[in-house]
Amino acid sequence: MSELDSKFIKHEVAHHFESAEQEFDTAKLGMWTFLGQELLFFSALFVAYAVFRFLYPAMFLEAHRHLSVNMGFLNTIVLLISSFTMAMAIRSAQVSNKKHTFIYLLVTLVCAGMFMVVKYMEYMEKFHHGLLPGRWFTGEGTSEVLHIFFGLYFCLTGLHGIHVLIGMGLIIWLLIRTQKGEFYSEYYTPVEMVGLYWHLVDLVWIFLFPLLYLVG
Amino acid sequence: MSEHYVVPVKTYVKTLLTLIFLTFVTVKIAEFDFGSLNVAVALFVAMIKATVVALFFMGLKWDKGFNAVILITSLIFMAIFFLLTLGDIETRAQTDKVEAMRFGINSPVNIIGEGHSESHSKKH
Amino acid sequence: MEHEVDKRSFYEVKKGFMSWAITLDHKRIGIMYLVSVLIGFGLGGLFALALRLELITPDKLFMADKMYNQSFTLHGAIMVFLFIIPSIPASFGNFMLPLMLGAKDVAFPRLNLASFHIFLLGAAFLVLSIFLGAVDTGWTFYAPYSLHTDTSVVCAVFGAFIMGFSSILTGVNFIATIHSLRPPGMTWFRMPLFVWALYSTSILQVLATPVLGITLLLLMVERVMNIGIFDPSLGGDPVLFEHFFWFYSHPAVYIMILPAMGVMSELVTTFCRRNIFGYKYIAYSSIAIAVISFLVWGHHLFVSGQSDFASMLFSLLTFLVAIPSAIKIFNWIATMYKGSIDAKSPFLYFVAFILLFCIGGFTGIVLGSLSLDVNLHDTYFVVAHFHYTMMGGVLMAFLGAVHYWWPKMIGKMYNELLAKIACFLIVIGFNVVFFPQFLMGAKGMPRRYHVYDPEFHVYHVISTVGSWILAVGFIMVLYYLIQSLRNGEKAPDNPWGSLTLEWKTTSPPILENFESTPSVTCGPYEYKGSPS
Repeated sequence: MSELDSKFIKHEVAHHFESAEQEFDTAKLGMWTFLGQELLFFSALFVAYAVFRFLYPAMFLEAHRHLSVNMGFLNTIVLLISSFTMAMAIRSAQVSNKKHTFIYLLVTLVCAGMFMVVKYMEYMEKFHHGLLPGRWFTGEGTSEVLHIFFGLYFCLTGLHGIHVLIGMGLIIWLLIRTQKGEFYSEYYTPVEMVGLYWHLVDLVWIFLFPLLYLVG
Repeated sequence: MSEHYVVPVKTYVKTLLTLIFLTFVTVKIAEFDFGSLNVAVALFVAMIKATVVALFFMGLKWDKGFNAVILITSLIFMAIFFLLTLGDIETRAQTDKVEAMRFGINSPVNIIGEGHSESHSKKH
Repeated sequence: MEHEVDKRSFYEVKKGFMSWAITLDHKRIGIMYLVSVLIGFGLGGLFALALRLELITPDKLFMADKMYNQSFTLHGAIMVFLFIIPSIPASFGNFMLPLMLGAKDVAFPRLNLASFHIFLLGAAFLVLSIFLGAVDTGWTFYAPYSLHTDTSVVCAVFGAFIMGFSSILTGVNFIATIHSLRPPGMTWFRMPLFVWALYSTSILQVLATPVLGITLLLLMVERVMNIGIFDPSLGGDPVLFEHFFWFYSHPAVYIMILPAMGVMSELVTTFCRRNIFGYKYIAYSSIAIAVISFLVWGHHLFVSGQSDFASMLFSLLTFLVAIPSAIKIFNWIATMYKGSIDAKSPFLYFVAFILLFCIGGFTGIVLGSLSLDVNLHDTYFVVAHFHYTMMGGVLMAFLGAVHYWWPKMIGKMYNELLAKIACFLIVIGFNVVFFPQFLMGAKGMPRRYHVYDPEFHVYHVISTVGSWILAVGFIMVLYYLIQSLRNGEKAPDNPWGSLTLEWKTTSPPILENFESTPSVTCGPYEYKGSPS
């Protein structure tokens, strides 16, 4: 430990916990509970998707052709890679490898940035064709309720995008703390928690991709 | 703290490769037409992917059992939400028809879901 | 790790505004919630009195249609979001949960403070909306009217959306606390039943509230951008809004009532000096209520255009809730049997709860029956029903909790005689207000109208007079509690001779709650000489 002591800032267990182990497990339990909340948060939008898909199947068939499968596919791969690097960042923190932790977190951040850039390009493409949400919708199509699909599309991907942005903020916060040397084998709780959150963002996209881009 | 299981790098690499492979499967499978099963098939593959992420990336495989319980509980309540709401939507057109027959109701309201007519006028 | 324990009470350790505004101490946060919800209750109560006054004549007295609509909306929204939902779990839950577990704090103290600040922020938006053109949609914000009214729906809905997060974060915090911070020896079945109730409440808060969040978000998006999800003129489905809304709001009534039931278990054991009858059944029934509450929301949609199939299904499922609720009532009554009852004011509120909640519960079964509900829907029968459960249930429990834990939280005793008189006034006033509403509801008086048929005049007059009795009762409570704050007798550590852990520390507790972590060797209610 003497070698570690010089490189890392020692973590102090909060006064109401008995041990670092208890503190870690509690944080993880809390985080999982929060993720359960996140699932229900997204579920209402998925229910809305299912309802309108049932009501207007032909419209959905028509609408999804406006989306670019390639872009969606690219974004799926980017997010999967970022999930991998996130898992690796946690692992590096577990074995007290500060340099690797920093690099993996940075790659995750870059992937998240790429995801948002691709998303931005997609949005711009939609806007160009008049496929804007709600009252600004001027898209042309055979179905008269085409705007509902794009209303849902912007709500789903928009809310997911906001989660990605929040995740990016959290990763930047982790990068700063990693640089200070706060995470090592005895304490890496924040990295683990943000990791769980980040995987959930990935999970939601795993469902969004086929439902929005592929299923016709 | 140091007794936490450190997952071998190999496991994470395999997980990533599996997920990328499954993404290809997702795209390829969408080119086939399974009729009404299209959504079910797409969701099935997505669920496998989600399970892989939860087990390996999120570490549920090595984690305390209760965290998995939380996840499964949330999924059960999501399922309740889906089933009961769709249970209403899918049977609504049927009700409306019965009432129209029995009571001769000629509502000016355009009944949603009736024959999936998609005949809503757009008032923008 | 031995260190000197500060033996001053948590009020004395630090003073000044900032010592409260940025405190991480669960006790201070609990007190701040208590003050906030009491302000909310006062505000909502003023609207209630105004509504009752308007209804004393069959014609317009002083409120025009729109103002009346705004008043009942604000009465509902304020009572639900600012008072009942946070009332017991956020105030007494925060203060008592760590104490009952022998812990030093909740699991995430900073998150706890954050949820209080979020709550205040949400409340600020809700109050702001009053000045920007108060909402007139009813507290349920039903589409499509909420999409087209010119009142400040977005602001009010945004406030409720924010407060939802406060509720979720409190739930997350409590679940983690109950799992991780139990003292040595306290197994799951040695926890006080109030803790079990908070646990089930937290499950509901975590799993149901996010759906409210997204629903309100979609409502805002729909109102601002017309995306066409809820608006029928754009191809949307307004009934879908009701599904979404009640998927949260039906479990929400159990977010309100479950902690109240937890308080009941504490009161009955303490004041009967007897072990609780059927501990495990009460604990499990809390969980059962939490689960079943997710299956019944469609009974709010019987006349909204929901399908017949769904209505029948929801009606059937609704009856299930009666089972765990009845299990609790029977167990409490059995606990009283052969107990040495000490009828102090908290116990009087327990009896009031049983009486009023049973009436509320039974009429709930009436309303859950599909065929009856078609007639009774949107009449005063419904109004009376949910006031008997929410006010007769939750408010009585809240007052019971205030009287039970006041000595522990404040460290002072209150005037017991005045407390008893106030309790009688409140129970009598309550019944005078709401019992006539069952009668006129059954005769067809619709809710949410300020002009009505003279046939119902006499009922409305009785009801309004009752609201004044009720108000006098509440003012009395406020009077003797303030009197107790100023010059009440100092409270002993355990004035009621209760056995749960919160009474093992000083009144009011020290900053770290206990001088040394208590350990537990038996169940929470094993009173001497009481059969188990």
